[in-house]
Amino acid sequence: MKTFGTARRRRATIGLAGVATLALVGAAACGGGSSSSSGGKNTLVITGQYSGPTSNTLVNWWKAAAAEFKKTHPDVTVKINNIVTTSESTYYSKLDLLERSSSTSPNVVYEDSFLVQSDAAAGYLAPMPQLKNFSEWKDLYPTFQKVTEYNGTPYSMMTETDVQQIYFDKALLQKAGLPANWKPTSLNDILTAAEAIKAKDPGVIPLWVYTGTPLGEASSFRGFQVLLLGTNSRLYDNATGKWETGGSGFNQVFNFLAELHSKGLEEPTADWSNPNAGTVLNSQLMPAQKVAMAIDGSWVSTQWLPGEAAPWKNGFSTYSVADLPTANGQAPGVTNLSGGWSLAIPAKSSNQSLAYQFIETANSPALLAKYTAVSGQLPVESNVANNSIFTSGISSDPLFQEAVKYASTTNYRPSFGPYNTLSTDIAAITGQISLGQLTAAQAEKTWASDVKQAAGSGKTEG
Amino acid sequence: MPSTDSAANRAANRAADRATNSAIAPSTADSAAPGVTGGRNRSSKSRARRRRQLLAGAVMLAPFTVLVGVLLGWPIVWTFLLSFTNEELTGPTALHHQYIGITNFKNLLTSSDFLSSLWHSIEYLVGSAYIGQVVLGFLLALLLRRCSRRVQAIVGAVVITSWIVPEVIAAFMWFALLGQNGVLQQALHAVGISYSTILTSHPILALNLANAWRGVAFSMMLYMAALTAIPRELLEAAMLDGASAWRRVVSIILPLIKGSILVDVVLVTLATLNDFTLIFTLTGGGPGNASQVLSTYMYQQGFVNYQIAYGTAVSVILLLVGVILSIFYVRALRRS
Repeated sequence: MKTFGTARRRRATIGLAGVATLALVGAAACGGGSSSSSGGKNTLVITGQYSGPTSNTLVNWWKAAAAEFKKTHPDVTVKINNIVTTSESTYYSKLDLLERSSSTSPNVVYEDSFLVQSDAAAGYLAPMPQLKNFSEWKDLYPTFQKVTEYNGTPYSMMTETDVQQIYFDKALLQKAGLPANWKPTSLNDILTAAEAIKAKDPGVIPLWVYTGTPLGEASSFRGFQVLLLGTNSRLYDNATGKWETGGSGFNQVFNFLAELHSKGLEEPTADWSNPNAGTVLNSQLMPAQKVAMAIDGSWVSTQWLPGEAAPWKNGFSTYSVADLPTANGQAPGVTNLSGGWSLAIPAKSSNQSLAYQFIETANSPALLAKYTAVSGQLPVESNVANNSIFTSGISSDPLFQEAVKYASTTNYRPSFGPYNTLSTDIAAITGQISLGQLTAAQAEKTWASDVKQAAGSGKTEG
Repeated sequence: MPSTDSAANRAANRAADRATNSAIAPSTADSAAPGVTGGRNRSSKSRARRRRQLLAGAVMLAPFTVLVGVLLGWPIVWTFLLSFTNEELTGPTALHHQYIGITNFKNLLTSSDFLSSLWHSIEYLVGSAYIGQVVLGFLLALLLRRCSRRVQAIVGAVVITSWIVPEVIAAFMWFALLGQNGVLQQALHAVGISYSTILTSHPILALNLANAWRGVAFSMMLYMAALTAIPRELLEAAMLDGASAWRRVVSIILPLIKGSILVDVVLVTLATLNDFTLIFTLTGGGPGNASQVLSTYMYQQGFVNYQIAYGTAVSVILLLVGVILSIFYVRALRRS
């Protein structure tokens, strides 16, 4: 039985198999490398997050910046190559993965401000010392110059921010005997208001607080850290350079959350454990007036504008906002915490000087004001806040106009070192409190051991 | 009744003997290599031909082997090596990790989150793989055997449709059914029964139902094929000898389809252990950590908490669990 026949046929088959192998391996290996996410000599690739039609404001801003850039750099093509996902944590991880290799690294990236420190420490971002000579940098509110500094050098340019507000339904509050221009002056004020509302109206959610792991950073940020900033405790002691394992402030906030749960004053588990809880809150529950108070970000009211994600023209007359009070009403009386976004240059970008010039172009006050007016984000510098394009753009949203005032005196997160781990730890702890699985005392113990494990020995105190 | 019992035993033994004999006969035929029939001339000519055949085979397999080695083998090795480092997706160890030995594994084995994820994986395995697919699939195949062709076709089509639905869509379907304000809640509400979503109160149960619904088709088809290979005379003879239905199944059918059971159990176990999409989409591991299994825990640690090296350590342990279970199955079902 002749199986492998003549020598010639044998050589032909071996040759063919060899070529096929090389071709397949070559295609597989190069397929990823020649992707359009890295720039060539005359291409500038910019990457941000695309989470649906609301992200078109971002894309439009960059397209406008690209058009401006073309006037001074006619031979450069700007390509917008966004990561499409509705989950912010997915965006962060995918962006980190892209930044690891020069074959996939974009030239300009849209960095969440809280990741700048750790990405700079990782070596993912290129330092931008030239920013200190940039006119718009010099105009930034001081907080926003400090946020993105690592070892004294800026690593990205802040473009926008947000603050937290207590949204409250005027009608529901008045029904419970509270004034239409309610201004809580302590955590206790919020609790008594919630109890009054629950007594009068058991069918509504008295206070919506972001809690638990499904919403990760939002829970840690809006559901815990902004409240902690109203106490005497901090996550990180700037003076000693150590992470806090506990204190009276932690005690106060954990007790506040535990009381919300034990008295049934917060939203049901099925609501907060949904990763899309924010959208459900803003676009369904609030317009249906099912929520009396909510601690949420400043962009919420902008979603009710016509043409936005959840247009609701009665929103601005139904709801009002208040700044977050300090825990006991002590000076300065209000507190806030801000996040925000920035433009940065990956260290492995192939076109760093071009990238820097693009960032300067995109940050010209006219372009930035036009973007900020429709993006639901707040300006980080007075040139934009006072720009007429911006002020006329937000004239129909009184709740947002309030928020603009809170931005110049806000705080930011200690987003370096073990911050990411600690943040997820906080989210997990608040979730367990809301499930009734942890008392305030147990939460403090869990926090203490979490911090010691995440920060390492010698880096904790308290 | 000792007499019927021993009669049943004898019937079972006879049937088993006949089966093994018929099973042995074809395999001896198979093991006769073509070359042997060459007869006396087993000289260098035949050996050279064999060598050419082997070379031909190796060359044909080369593209596949190289691809698998490069695209699959290397990442597996790299994942394994990474589990001994402290690499994270961001921060100082992102591009320059350090070797930390078995610290990740030590932290894992003392972490209550990991241990509860392991337990949930076991619950998920027992509920949706063993009970939900292997046992249920076998029962379905057994019952379908004596139905008409028509019924077999209909049931087959229905069950297989649930199998070919893409996993994410299946998860959304079950979410629409079981979720808050979902189909089940509204249906029960219409008859006055209140229902609070089991996705929050009993998430593992919900996952078991969804996975069993999805996977039972495969086991059922496997067993149906295996059952048709059992000669009817055996079962009829056993019936004549007085063996009950239960006896027939346990002493005749099960031993004869041991090979199929082994294949099914191994495949279903590995598929269920590594299942990610259904759990991630339906419950996301929640609420809290109530339905966190090893695969979703690994994803969360690696890509959400940026602890990529810690995540790879979990994946190594998941691999070990799969290997240990497979070895156990092969041992347990080998005695034929």
